[in-house]
Amino acid sequence: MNPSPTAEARVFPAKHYLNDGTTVRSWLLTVDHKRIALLYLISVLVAFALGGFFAMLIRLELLTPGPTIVGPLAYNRLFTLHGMVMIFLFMIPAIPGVFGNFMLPIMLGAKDVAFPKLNLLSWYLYIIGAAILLFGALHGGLDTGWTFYTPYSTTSSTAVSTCLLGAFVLGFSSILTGLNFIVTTHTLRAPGMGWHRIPLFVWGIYATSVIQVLATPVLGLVVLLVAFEHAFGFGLFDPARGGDPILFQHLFWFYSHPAVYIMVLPSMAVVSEVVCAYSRKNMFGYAAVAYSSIGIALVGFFAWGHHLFVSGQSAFAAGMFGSISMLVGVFTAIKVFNWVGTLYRGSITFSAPFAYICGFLFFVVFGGMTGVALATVSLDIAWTDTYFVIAHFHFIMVAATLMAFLAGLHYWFPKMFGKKYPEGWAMLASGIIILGFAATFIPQFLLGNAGMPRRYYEYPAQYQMLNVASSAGASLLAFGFTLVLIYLVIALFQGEYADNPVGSRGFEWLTQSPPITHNFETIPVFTHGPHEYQEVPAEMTEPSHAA
Amino acid sequence: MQPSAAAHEAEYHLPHHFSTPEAHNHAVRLGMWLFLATEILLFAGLFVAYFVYRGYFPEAFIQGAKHLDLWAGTTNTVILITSSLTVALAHHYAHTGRNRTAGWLLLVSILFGLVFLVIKGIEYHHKFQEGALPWHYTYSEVTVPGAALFYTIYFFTTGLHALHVCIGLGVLTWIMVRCFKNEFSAQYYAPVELGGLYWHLVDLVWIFLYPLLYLV
Amino acid sequence: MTVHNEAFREDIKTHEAGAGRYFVIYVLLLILTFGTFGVAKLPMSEPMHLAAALLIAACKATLVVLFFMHLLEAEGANRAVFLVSIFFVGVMFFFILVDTAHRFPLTNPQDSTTVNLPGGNPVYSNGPHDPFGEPTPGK
Repeated sequence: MNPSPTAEARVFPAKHYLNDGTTVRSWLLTVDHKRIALLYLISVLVAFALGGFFAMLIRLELLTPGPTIVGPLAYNRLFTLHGMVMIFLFMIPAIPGVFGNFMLPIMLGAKDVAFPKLNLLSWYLYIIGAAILLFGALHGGLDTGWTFYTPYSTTSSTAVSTCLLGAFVLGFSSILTGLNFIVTTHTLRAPGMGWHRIPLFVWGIYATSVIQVLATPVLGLVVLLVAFEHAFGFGLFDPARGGDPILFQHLFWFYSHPAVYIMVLPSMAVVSEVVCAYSRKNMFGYAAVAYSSIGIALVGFFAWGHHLFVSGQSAFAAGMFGSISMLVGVFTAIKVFNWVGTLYRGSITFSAPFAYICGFLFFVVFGGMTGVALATVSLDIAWTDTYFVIAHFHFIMVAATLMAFLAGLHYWFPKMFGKKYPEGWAMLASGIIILGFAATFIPQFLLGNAGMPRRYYEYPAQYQMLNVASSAGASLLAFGFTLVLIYLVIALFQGEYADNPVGSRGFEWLTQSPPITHNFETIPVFTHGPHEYQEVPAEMTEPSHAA
Repeated sequence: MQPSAAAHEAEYHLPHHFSTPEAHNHAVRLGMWLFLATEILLFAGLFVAYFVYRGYFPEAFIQGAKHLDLWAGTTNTVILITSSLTVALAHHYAHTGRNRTAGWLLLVSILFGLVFLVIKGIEYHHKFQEGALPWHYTYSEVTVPGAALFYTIYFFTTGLHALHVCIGLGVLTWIMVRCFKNEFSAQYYAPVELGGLYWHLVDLVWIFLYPLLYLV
Repeated sequence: MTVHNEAFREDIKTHEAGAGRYFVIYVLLLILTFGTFGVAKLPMSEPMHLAAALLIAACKATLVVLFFMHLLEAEGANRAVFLVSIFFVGVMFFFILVDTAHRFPLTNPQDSTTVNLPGGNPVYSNGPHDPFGEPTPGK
């Protein structure tokens, strides 16, 4: 059965969004969501490389118990930079900015997002915010940790206000992207696409966008409060003047806990697509996966106090937050069961994206379980501010989100560029990355359980072996990422043409690869949900229905 | 004089990715409500801070409220409510194509907004003179513990609100200019509606700020 | 099979009502404003003052949102957005104020006059190995 929508698509298309205007101006002033997606791709990859560079310096420093390459003050700046860059410049914007921008409108049968110019503004705000943040952190320095707790952040002599201004601008970028996606999903669906036919990727991005719109303003506020207090000495969080530092932590984590779901929900959205495409099966339980995205977004807002267990928060509140935090596990489990149920008895295409999905599933279960363990107040008192917490969130952020990002990058590489990536190299790199990840972060669970605190540049000698193991794993991880970058860039220019090499029935494959600027000559009419592999739906063989 | 609305609809052309003008209208309205939701969440954090510190230092908040310029707060409340009325009326007239009426109503709204800012400025000036400044508190009338915190909350909430009034005035000015250029009609009046929504939000925040800061 | 899709609406919303109703709402708002001003002068306990002020402000806000901002006749999506944002404001308030009310008294800011509810930190209050001795209530 021929899976590709148009039988004639055997040669690289003559007209597509990449050659529709080749000047620098046509790229920097584009309102095409696909070009904006590529602008984001380049930016987040640069950010990732930068954050990874700081990570390597951290791991180098931690090779020996005493000082290795930096002193304590520089080390504080290193982990602050690593956190800020990775979270604000990579994790939060990556999947929504790249794949959300590129795929969401096509998956809905739309010609662009609702507000294309706002979309471009989002990217420029990202760049400006990143520039301000990096300028402040590298020039004046920032050593507060990415969490910039008061009263240290309000009294530190480092460039707190500058960096927070950058974070404020970045927040706007995030809000506008989320706003755009929500409005697009509501108002630009093609005929026949009711809410129950929306691809699961869109559900995940939609839930993410809801979090972005609701939570980010609170970050904006807390950033303003701290910046003003730092610059003018307001005293709102100064205990000596009656201020309450725990109030800062409440307001900060009210955003920052949902923020981790901004990071993870898009990755789960990618996984939903890849799982269906690479097992040639419809999702086991579409509604369950769709609504669990909303469920995670919702419950994520009630859980933030688990970051405050040892802060001085009341035990009463701690109990509430701890119990509610565990509910997230329920929704995540629903997703995992559905993904596994989809893979079961599917027709598996074993390849790099599938390998990344396997890594994702295995590690997200582990990472998630350690999250539930950390939500237990009595256990968390021992694990707080140790490497156990670091390992937990890196399991989710690296193993889950980053691997999903890589899976999406490979799955959608032909869609975005019309080229095939080299499968052999991709499999090798995925293996290296999975192994490297395990080698880096499993020792950190052991270290944290043994009591090694985080954000310390030196440690007692008994922890050295595990630290060396972790640093070795990090080198392997870095090597794997470099490999991916190299072969993808080569494939970009020398890869052979491919349009839907795995025969996916996701809706984004309804257009040519790479797509034309306006995505569709005529808007398709949808009569089926996505990933229908049992029978070939009408729109997959006759795509040219008029609107 | 004013040409009929039908002659100037060439200003509005439907973006290519929307199916109908109604869909486009729905989209921009939804977008604006989402943006208002972000503003609501922004101010909510400040109100939380207000109640937290009020819980810690109730006497400071009561005393501080007594020493604010009540006439200024009350006048400003009436001013904002009235400007909300004129903005709502402007929207009403804009979408029936009566651009000039809408334009004049918007001008009145803007003037009200400016008066609000002037009164606010006078209030702030009083505070500076009295020494009720959070970073260097020397106000002798209110010396209970937590007094400086009350004024921190006061300056922050009213300051952020005043910033939004300024932004709102800019938005209203831009819309007013377009009204006088006769750009709006029954088919296309979205900017007036959206700008109006933003101004109403500014009014909403003040509706809560006024009693919490000045009256209790 | 046609599926309802709000992207393809054809209706044009026509406001049949005149401008008069805005004036009615305006007068109500003024009445409520002077009402809250007057209520503040009445001799009541402090919590009652706060409750009354918030209640009146909520009424005014409802009028502005429903009529000036047209939420009464708005599409479901817009109403949902507004209500959801209010809900999460409530969540923020609820958890933070519940926490503040139940703090262990020694964690309160100095010179504060708050009285905490029980449920602070049972580890340190009145246990046999209480490192602080007798906890000082209220301050």
